[in-house]
Amino acid sequence: MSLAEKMDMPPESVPAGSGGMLEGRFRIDLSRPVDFLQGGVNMAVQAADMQDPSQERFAVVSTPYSSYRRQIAQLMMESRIPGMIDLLARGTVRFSETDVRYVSVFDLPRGGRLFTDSEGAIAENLVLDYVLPPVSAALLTLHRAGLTHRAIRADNLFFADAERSQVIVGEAITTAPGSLQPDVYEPQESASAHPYGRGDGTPADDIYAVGILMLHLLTGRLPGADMSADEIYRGKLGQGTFALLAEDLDLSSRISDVLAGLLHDDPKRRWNVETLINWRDAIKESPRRGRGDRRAFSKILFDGEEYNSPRLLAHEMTKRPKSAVELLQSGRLEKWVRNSLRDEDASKEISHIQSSSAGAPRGQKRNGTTAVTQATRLLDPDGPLWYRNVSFTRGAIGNLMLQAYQLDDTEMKKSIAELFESGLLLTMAVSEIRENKEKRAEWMSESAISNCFDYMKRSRDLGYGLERCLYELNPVTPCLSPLVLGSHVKNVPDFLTIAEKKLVSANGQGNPFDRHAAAFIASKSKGLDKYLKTLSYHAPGSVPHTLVQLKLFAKLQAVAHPAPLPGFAAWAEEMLKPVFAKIRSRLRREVISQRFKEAKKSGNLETILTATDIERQIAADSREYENALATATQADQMAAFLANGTEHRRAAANHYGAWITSVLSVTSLITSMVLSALYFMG
Amino acid sequence: MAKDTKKAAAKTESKVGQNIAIFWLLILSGLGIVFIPPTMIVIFAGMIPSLVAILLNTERTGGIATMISFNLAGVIPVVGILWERGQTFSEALKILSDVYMWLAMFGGAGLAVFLTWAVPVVVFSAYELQAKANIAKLQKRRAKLIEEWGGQFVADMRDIPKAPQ
Repeated sequence: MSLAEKMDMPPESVPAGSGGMLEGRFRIDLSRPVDFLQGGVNMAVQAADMQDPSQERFAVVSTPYSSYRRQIAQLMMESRIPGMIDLLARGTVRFSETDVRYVSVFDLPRGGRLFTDSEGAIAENLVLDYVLPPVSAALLTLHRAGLTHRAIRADNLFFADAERSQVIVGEAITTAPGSLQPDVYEPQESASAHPYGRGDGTPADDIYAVGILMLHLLTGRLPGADMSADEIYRGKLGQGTFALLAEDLDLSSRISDVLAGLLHDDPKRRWNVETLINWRDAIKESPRRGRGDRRAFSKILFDGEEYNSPRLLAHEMTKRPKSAVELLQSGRLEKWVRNSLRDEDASKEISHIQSSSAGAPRGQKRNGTTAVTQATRLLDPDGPLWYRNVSFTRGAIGNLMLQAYQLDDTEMKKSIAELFESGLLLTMAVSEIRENKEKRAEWMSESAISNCFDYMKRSRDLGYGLERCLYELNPVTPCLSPLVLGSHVKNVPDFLTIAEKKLVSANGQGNPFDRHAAAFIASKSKGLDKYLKTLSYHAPGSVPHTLVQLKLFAKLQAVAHPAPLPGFAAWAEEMLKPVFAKIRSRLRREVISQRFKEAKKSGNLETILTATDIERQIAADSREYENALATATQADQMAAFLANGTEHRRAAANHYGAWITSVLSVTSLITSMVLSALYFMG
Repeated sequence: MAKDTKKAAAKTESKVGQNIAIFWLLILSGLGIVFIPPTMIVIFAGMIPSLVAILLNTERTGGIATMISFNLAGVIPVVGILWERGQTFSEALKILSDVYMWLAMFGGAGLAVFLTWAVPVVVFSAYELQAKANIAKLQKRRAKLIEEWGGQFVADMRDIPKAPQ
């Protein structure tokens, strides 16, 4: 959002403790959580509908780090999605002066959760007749709009009515797509990704989740609950999902066929939502069972174990990158891909990676990791991208970054930063976006990745680096600066308003231009590059650095918040204290301090800067100081010379005294001669 | 070395000048003794302080010249009196026996001694007063600068290398 955008100022004051109102209709009560709707980092609380008190509502209060799926929310607001919970309102709610949160209000599913593990299995006909229709109806609407749900799971199904007759699917907009899904619900393409890096995925991922959901409901327990995530993944790749999770179960043939269609490991052969709706017709021809990952003609030995599944090999390589580098450099992987997988293109690329990594000096861990990243991408082109300790699908790096910041996971942040900084992500993105049309949809825009690559080049500078990438890739994320965290600051006017309140209460103590604030402001404004560049030239704490910050906020105030900002003026005072201390002339310092005090009353940073005219004053002060120093030194030397010049003066006095007496003597002689002559001769 | 040579040359030049003056003085004195002996008696008697000063040779040429000038200024009126009374030995002796005449002649020499001593002292005192006033002025200026620019100013002043005086 640019600075020129219309100001969206929140109301000035809200009585503390009164709860918050959304759109003047929904009163959000933070003290009344709805237990059965809790999940993830967000909080579900009761909401009262002031227009229709007979209706029961609940609200999901998002954390600042929560992802928000705007497109689905937009669709839900525009029209009711059949079979899905109703979104009634969304927006920021003010709970106190500075406690502002993003809230989504939904219609409360009065019948509670459809399924809990303690209640056991649900009968087949109930699943097919009561659960499947609303789920597929919801997915049909979403998929037709080009969207995915990514939260189809047993604990996200509810009874809409108190009589428990109508099943609905829960919301999927307040968390990162797929982030709350148990591992088993994820298809092979995203199963090995970080929960927050699973991404929007494809409609086929929802269909797969429906298959797992059915298994979950029919068996009364989470499929693969006795297996670890890794065992499930390996099993799915080795045997296929259906064989791993459903084949041994005592299921009817029609359910087996439905599950075979839903759980096919190849997303292209998996049913789509239309087939799901018409499942009775679809099972007339028994769907083929998926058999896991594609198989190579021969196996390859990696770290003491043989593999014939490229996806599984890629997965194992990411777990043991050192051994993976050795495998790459041995040349066996390239031969295996060429001869056993019969993939000439991938083989050539692996050969290129092999020669590049072999040329790198020993001990360059990053090169080895990069090589493994590129090789695993070629082995598992549809799988998530891996780098060190992060794994994510193409468009999910923004959500992953948010998670890294929420957990304050330094290692995760470092890996993501390296991905951008090294250009690895850009290289992979450009190659896939330009060569593969299907992949283009999965990626975020090429320009966004390219911009992040540029921002990371100046990662140490304020307004750039990973924080800038975070806000560019997550445009709805509020500012995460400690100063305004918890106030859901979504644009520059909001930032100035909240920061002003915080600075007023802290009497100017605080930093409104930390790394997060700088990156947020830079991403939401235009025309600040010259300030940011100037900032990067000067060390923090230096006079120019301080002045540029003040100028930047003066500009922001002029454009986005013309009202007085006494809090920022107090902050400016704190910032300028060391600057004033650098003015050596006591008189000038007093004059400027006096001018500052006068200008501070206006609460206008531009007025303060103009009145104090710091830059010119400091230059003049420096110049005059040098002059004064020269004058004082000269005066000192002169005084010393005079103090030590007694003998010199005595000699001069003798000389001058002799001259005076000589003149007097000659005068007296002439006078004597003249007077005597006049007297005696006259 | 060159300075010493110059000094020596100046000294030699001065000595030559002195010798020429003494030569002319002796010629004039000789002529005076021949043609105006009473006057010369008075002059010799009255110029005794100058002769003593010359003999003591204090190397203060200016001082001797002053002494001679003042002494002569005192002697000239006495010679005028002698010439008024008639230039005879008896008048000359009469004058020399008059204490006031001695006072007039030696008074000039005394004044010369006093002025030679007193004037440099007075001038030196004036110089000292002026220097002190200047030092006070400079110190006041320095104090004002320190007051204006603060303690760091003093430290920075110390860091500046002193120019040779």
